[in-house]
Amino acid sequence: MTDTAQTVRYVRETMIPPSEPPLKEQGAVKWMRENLFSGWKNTLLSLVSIYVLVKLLFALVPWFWNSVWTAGSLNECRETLAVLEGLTTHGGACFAVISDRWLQLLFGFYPAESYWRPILVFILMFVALAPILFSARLPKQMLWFSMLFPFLGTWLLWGGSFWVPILVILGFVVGAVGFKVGGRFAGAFGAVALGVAGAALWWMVAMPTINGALHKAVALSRIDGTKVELIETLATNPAQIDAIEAEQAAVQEKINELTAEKDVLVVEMLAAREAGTEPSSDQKTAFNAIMDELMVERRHYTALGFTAFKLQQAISDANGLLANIEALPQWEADLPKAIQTAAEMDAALPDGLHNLVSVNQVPAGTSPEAVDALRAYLDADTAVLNLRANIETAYERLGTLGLAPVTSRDFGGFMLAMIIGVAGIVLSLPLGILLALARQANLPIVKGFAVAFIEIIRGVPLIVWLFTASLLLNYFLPPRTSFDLVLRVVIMVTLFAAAYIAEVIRGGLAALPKGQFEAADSLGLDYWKSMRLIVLPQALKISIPGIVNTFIGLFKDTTLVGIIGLLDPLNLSNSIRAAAEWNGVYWELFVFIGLLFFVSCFSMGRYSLWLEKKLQRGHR
Amino acid sequence: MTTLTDTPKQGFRLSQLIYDTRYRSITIQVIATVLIVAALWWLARNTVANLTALGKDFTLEFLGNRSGYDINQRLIAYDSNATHGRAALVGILNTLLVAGLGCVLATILGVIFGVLRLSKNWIVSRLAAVYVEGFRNVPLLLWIIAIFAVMTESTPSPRDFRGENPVASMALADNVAITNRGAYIPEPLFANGLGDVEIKPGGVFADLYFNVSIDLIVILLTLVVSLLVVKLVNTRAADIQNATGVRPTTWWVNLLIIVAPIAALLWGLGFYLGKPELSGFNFSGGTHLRNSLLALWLALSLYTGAFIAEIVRGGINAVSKGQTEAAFALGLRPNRTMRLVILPQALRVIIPPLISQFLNLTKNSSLAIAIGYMDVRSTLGGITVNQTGRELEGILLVGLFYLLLSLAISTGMNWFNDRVKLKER
Amino acid sequence: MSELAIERQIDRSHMTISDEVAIQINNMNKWYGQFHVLRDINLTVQRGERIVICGPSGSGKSTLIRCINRLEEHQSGDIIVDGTELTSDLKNIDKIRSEVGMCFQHFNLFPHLTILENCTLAPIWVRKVPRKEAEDIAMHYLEKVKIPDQAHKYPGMLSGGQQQRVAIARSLCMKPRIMLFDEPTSALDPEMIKEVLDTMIELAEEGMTMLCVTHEMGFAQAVANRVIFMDQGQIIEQNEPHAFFNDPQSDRTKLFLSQILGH
Ligand SMILES: Nc1ncnc2c1ncn2[C@@H]1O[C@H](COP(=O)(O)OP(=O)(O)O)[C@@H](O)[C@H]1O
Ligand SMILES: [Mg+2]
Repeated sequence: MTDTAQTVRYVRETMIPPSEPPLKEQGAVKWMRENLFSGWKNTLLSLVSIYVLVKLLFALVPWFWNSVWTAGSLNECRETLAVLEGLTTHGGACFAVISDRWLQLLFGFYPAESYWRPILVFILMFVALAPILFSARLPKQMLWFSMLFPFLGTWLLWGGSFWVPILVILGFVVGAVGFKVGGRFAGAFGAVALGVAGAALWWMVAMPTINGALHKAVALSRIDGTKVELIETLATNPAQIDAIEAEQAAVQEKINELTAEKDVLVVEMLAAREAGTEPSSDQKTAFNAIMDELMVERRHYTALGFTAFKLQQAISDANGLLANIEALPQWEADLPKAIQTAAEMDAALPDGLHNLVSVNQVPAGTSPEAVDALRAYLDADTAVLNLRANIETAYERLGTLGLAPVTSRDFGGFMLAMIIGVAGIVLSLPLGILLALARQANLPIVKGFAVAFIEIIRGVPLIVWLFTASLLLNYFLPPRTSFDLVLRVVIMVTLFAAAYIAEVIRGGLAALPKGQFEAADSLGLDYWKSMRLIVLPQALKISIPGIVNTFIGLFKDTTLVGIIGLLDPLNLSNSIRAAAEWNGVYWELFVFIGLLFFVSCFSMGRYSLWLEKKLQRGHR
Repeated sequence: MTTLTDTPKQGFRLSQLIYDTRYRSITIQVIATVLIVAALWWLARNTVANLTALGKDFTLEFLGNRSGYDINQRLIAYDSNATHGRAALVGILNTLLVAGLGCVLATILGVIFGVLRLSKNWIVSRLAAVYVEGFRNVPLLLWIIAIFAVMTESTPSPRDFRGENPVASMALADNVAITNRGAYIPEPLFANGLGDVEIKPGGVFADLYFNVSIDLIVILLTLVVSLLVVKLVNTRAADIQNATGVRPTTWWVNLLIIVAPIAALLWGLGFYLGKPELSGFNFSGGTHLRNSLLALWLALSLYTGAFIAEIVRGGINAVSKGQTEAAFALGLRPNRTMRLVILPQALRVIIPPLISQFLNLTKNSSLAIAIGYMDVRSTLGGITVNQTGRELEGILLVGLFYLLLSLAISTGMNWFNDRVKLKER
Repeated sequence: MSELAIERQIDRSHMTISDEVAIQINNMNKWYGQFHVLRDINLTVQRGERIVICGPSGSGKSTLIRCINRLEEHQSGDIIVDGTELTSDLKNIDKIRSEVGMCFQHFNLFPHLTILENCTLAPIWVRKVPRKEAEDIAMHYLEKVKIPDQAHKYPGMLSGGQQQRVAIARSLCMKPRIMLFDEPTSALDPEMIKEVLDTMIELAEEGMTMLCVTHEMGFAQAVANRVIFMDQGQIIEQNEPHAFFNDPQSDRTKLFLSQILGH
């Protein structure tokens, strides 16, 4: 357009029909030209990549393709591979180990009849997470369930009487009431002090008392019935066990026959292979049929063994409980006497020897008699503690009303990884929020403490913290307190995660515009109200992707608990390998465990990425 | 200059401690300090009570006692007659060794795969994505154990190299032997070397004795001098460019300055490679890289490399497309665009998270315990603790070591950040 | 700057200025570090006054009105709001903040709450008004700013002008006796400025005590009873609008007016 004055008005009346681009610019060919073979460098890269890919596939595909899923041991796997495919050990995977042990890899030694409990907890977890992850679309009332879930989940997993979680929740109620009352009379500080003190008193004093009383009441109300049942168990179970053992013997017989049959077939087929001919398809079908049958029988055998074991366990439980019932009156009668004796001995001790827990603690220069007196007192004191513990456990066993208790020693596999990961993140959130707020606060000393905590935790590897939990935590707690390793690990992991979560939330706080703080101030909201109502809801929402990423890291790191003796999936794979039949299986277990981790971590990572993008769009 | 005229008109009241903004923060901090000190005091008191109840005390004397255990992987002289302190030192050096090697390899892998993932070549970027996602989403411990298993399970034993028709043979023109006990590679030796100097501090540091090869010192010195000269040459080239607009070609001068003195020095020292050789049932000569070291090194590098690849990708993506287009529009060629425009900006984004990945790698090297690599956690925090029963002291020292290392690295990082930020303005 | 003509007739029947002092500032000084932002400010605001503060950017206008509700802390001098002196006593600060409403240049609505929740939040949590009642009050003010139908939307779905009107309604829900405006229209597109100014005029017509930092000179001429010119942290000149615009005394004021009115 050189000169506007000369431009002639022109309106197109017919549209040019769309035309095909030249052939080489189309479809797959075009795509390949553009994406794979544009320029010699690109072509070279593509060729190298294709070579790598083909190599990888050639190594992996046959291994998966020829995999054996029905076999009772690694040797049978090899046998199967040899006779059916004519392959050596590494020619195909032996996924039979997975079909044999996958439940163990998922649940550890959690009792099979209670698998529904962790599964239910897993499902409920998503229900509890839903209102947090998809807050826009779900009613806010669902958050109440989210708050209830930790207690419900803990109870479902560990079992015990149904009132225990209720009593724990009541502690929060007591704390809240204390907070309100304290706030009315003594301002913010009074509120916090009274709230914490109330809850602590409830949990440490009232709750054990009420719990013990409830257990005792239930136990006493049904002690006669229980006794009859226990005697009945003792009477009938041995006969049942005998019957089962007889059945087992029959099944074993069958297994032996089948094995012999299979061995004959294997020899024949191997001979055929030796002679250079492929075994006939009839033989192969027969072999497969025998293997299938063998597996069925073996499973039957194991199930019978399991039942017999349960019955046996019931007998020893019954014996123990009956003995407890017998001894209870005696223990209860002895207790006051023992307490008095101990008190008298304590009173008789020379000054400076009270409140000691070991004769090692006596100051230098104490007379031998005094040391002996202390030793005698300590023994008496231990006797009191033992009596108390005996009585309490007896009533608890007799009076449990709810789910069968499961000890943490039996927790394992992915369930354990999930529990530690989820508990770590959930419990660390409040602490992480407090740390983040402290680090943002305009209070140098508080800020200093927060920074020190965060840096110390983050500067030391998790494995060292885990060793601290397993070896040192008992040093830091009052003498004679000791609790379960899983709980100790959860505490340590919580502290660990809190430092990382604090940094994530600090990022969220920093991303909030300053105007939000100012608007809250100008409306007259005080610090905690503006945090709770304005700042944290927004900061936490921005932080969710970061929290999910922290969870992914923590979930992967739960494999480290195997090093201090818990049954994480990797440690379980070691114990599976320790069994004679699966000695030497590596890759199949690694692949299975790796795949499970990959699927869960990858999908969570994608979710967090999606959320990040969504938040970026939502934030103008 | 701040004059506070709004001092309370009716004197000090107790409620001001809470309701007056000037005193409130002090009140809160005093309360927080009291609570935290009380908590720490409570922990300390429990610890003392528990220790005395067990008949133990808190001392570091055990570091001076004979260790009585062997460490197969060591960078300095050590045997079972040396002290626990010496064993700890061996462990520390092993941690630093694998961490240092890991950081280098992880960076190389990360940069390569990060750039490949951005490639327009579909198949290449997919393969890089598979690598990144595969390693990022599976626990490191699993990779360590799996890679260790590959190395020990699917490699020949030294015995297989023997005989008339050996099952296995050495690689790279008979220079490298890969066995299930590790890799044997040639070691640098000097025919007319200058020997070692022995460094032997006394007192508390008596355990810190070690030998330094004079050859190594001389080589390093030569290198440093060469690099300084190269820098001088480049500065001059830049001056000439500034004055005349034409930059003289310097690359071959630089190459010469670096290569020639070193080559001459090596020739003078009689440098040669000592090859590993089969003797009896094992290899002798050469440097023995144990499988535990190799597996840990590879696993740490591959795992961290995946994270670094993401950082590199993010860093390059963060430099907006507009920057590239602007540089092209100015007539810069792609290579120069990368070097002068993209990289300086991308590096500013990349380096801080990169360093924190180095920190992670260093901390993750403590997983060495899973495959028996003797790092500081396995020596001081493992065998020493088990033998002396000093778990409190041992674990405290190990924690302190990692903490100091982390603090040192992050202080360096902050220093770097500040420097980069200054340039921004 | 823009000179939006105020076309409507202003109802001055309720615009009465009483003798009661709403804000009293004596010899107030403020520093940011070494930088003396506000110097010897003396200002008395009567109840019912409508004051417009103008001045070049960086002259300390925002800082001045932010000192009135303690978003910034002054270092010397007194500020007395509604008979309560602003000291470091938190109780006084809270009291004054709930009596003084503020509108910001960038609205600062809470994006995670609906319009209605934005308006009821402070009455419920600060004034302890029952929720139902708070919602009624909020709806009343939302009707007043003419957006009752948006009550259940989120701030992000509204236009800038609507958001600023919500921000005004949010402040009004606390039934403030004094309103502060910090450039309420300068982040808005021209077509939205009018709707916000209309709301502010209505507020003035009801006799609200107002301090507005604004460059809308049309608004100042129509509504204000006093215009204050600030420069370099000082009040240079103050006068009733007609005299201020037609007969500025100080050279700095003249220069400023000539720039802003575009002569
Ligand atoms: N938080 C702060 N720290 C330091 N200086 C500030 C701060 N806030 C504002 N200032 C400075 O104080 C002066 C007055 O700012 P302000 O009251 O916002 O001016 P106005 O609103 O009149 O444009 C400006 O020079 C500004 O740079
Ligand atoms: Mg301003």
